[in-house]
Amino acid sequence: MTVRDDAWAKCCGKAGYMDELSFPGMLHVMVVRSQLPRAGIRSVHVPAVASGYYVIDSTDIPGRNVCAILKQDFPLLAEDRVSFAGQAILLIAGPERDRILEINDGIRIDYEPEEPVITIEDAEEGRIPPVFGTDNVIASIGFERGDVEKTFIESARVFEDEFRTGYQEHLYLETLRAIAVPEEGRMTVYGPFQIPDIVPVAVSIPLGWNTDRIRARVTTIGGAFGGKMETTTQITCLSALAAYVTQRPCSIVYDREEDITTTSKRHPSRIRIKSGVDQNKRVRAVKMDIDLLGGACFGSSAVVLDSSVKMATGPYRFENVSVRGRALATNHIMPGATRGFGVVQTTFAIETHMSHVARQLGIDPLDFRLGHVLKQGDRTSTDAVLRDQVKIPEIVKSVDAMSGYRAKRGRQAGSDATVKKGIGIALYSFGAPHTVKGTLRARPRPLILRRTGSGDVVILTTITELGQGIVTVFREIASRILDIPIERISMDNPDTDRDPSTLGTGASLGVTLFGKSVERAARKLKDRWDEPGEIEVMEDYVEPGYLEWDDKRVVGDAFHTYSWGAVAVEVSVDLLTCEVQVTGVWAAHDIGRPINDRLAEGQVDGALVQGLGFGLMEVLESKEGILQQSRLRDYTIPTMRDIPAIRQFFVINPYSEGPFGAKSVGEIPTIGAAAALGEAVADALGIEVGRLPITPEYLLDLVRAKEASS
Amino acid sequence: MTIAFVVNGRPVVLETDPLRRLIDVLREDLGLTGVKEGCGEGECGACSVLIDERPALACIVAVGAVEGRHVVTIEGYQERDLFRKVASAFSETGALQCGFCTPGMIIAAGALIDACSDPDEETIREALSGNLCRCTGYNRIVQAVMRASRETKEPSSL
Repeated sequence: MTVRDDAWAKCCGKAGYMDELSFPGMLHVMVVRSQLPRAGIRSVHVPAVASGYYVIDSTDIPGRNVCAILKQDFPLLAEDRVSFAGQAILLIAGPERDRILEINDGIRIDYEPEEPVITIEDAEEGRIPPVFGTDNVIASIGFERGDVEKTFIESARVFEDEFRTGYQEHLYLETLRAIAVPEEGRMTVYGPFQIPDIVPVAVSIPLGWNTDRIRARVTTIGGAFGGKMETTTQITCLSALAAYVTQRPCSIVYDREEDITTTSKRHPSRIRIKSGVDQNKRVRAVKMDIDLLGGACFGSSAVVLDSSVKMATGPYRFENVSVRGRALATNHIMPGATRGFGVVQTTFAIETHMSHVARQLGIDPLDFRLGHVLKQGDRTSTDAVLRDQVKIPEIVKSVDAMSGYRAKRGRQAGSDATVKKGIGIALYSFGAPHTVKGTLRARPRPLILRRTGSGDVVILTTITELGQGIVTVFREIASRILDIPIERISMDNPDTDRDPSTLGTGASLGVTLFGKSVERAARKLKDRWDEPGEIEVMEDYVEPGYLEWDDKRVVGDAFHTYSWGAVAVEVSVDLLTCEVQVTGVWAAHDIGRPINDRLAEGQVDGALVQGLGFGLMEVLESKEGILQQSRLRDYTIPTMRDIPAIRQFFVINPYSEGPFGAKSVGEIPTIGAAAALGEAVADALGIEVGRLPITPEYLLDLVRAKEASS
Repeated sequence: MTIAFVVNGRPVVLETDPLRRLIDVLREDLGLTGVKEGCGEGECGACSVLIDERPALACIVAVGAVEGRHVVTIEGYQERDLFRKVASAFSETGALQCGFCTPGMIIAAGALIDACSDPDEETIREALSGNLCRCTGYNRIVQAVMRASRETKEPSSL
């Protein structure tokens, strides 16, 4: 199998990351940030600074004081008030870091503290003056199919649950950074940009320049997971502002603490589910209320919420469905795009609820869920017909064969007096790519294949390599079509001056949508191969003609297609410490037909562990608007010792519209791990889990409550 | 203060503050950017180097503490036969994705293979638990280390 072309350079630590980059005369820039979650700024005292050092505030911004994310409602530098702890107020630029810190020590900001909006309840109650608009509602979206309330009345039994999940930090190993270099009336910005195309637009606003004066050059990205999408705009705009003011190359590097406390994360959530079950023990109606805890501005919460709502009911078919979602503003940093995109939270909720209902009905939770799984020809919650085969039964069979789930389930709890074992399984799906047909998001997203005079092929695109292996996959696709060795095909880190705007990497659409563009371009190039000299073929993405989508009514094919999966997680729980140890992980996925098994398996391994970290140990809490964990010492992610070997399998189900039958793999394996973990803990202890992460403290509460009630 | 030590086989004499972090001296003064900073507090292992052949974290070592000692970074380590074996195993097994943890992981893995000729999975997971990776879920790193350790054994068994 093909070895990725960046492997050796990465082993040597010389793969072109930001931290290998430096420019003559480059200044370091420090961001001075708000210490309070909500306050007016009475005054800012800046000490006299030595020549060559600069303190920059909002009045130095030549254009508009805006950091563009989706809407332009977020000030790049705070003016007279701050809305979250960590909000940027000033920049200090200069050649020596120690001197910059001395200047920072001399800065005094006099605040007028106000009561912050902290929780989802604060945001919806309206007792505290709103952070956003008149009601803190950043975005709301919802739909109903059938008649939910009427069905509840007719139901034999009705069940209600409430679920909560916390923040999850992306924790890419390479922290955020940016360098801006002023050059002959233009500004070149370097950074690990997941979506390069948004960078020139964002930088153009505070500079007040046309976008063609800004060039974004992507450096090799040291992990992203959604955290280097919209989040890169702020640090890049700040470095560009500093470079504009100083007329020197300016570098901003966040250390881990600054990265954790000031950049986006997975949205915390509160999800309420009510379901009505008939006399045949079938769920006839489901109502879901999804509330995501947003930040102080619009951010990208609306987009994350969109996926939460559209995928809320998981891989199940319910005749009557009502889903309502809101993203609510609070005085916190803006959460944002994070692998799994709002579906990790909803899947935990629907999976746990379904199992909970099954137990109360005295039915095996897996059988109960399998009985409600969508089938080919069924309609999804957004009323899309599932055109392709749904291979959840085969997926579950595969996971059961690997894990021994059915043999182990419910039989391990009594095995030891102080250590209880349990096993759980989660079923899930993830829609990708999003259908953009007929929406404002529909615009050309081309990429180019260039055959050089020497017969090599270069792929020109702003799709970014995050580590997932997209470069290798695109080269493999082109190599298979053109029938030339993969070594003769190359794809570099994007440069917005050179490459067509393909968009960037995100939302699990790289392989399925743009890999297909590579395939089509390669076919055209092959037809023209005998032409002399250089040849270029440009290809835009194509959405399948049969898709129908009504954005306003939330009806139709919300996604082109769906990937499907199941994961079984086995745990042992120490009753004395309430610590959970993961002892087994087995997963199977239908991602169509993978282009490169090894890379696809790597995506699954990493995503499963990220999902388990979210479910088990990654605690990030706000106390009065201040994040209580800020370093790797207190925000712990899974180490090699915390996780066992993972076994996995792909159920092949070629997707006719994907390149060589491929569907998306980047996000789906993140979706179900925490839900399966919760089920395993429930199996071990005979309790119902309602919150993530499942910390020893939370588990102790559950165990005590169970003891008290029995 | 003058500090003299050996980096990747070459003697280095620096006039600097002995309390500066070794990682900063290696990266900024000596241009050894293969030493990666992931956390700055000894939690992630990305800055792993060898000090007198033992793995150490360059972000929590003061440069004054390496006076007279031998420091090896990934730039020097890559000249070794063991590096080639471990890096080949990482590349061919798919044990790297974004690659930011990889140089430190390889140094830590090489040190383990040096110390223990045939580590089993549990030993590997214990020994490398100070090196964080967010991309791979560790599965293929463990496989790569086992593969590399097998390959290092082969020549001696001939």
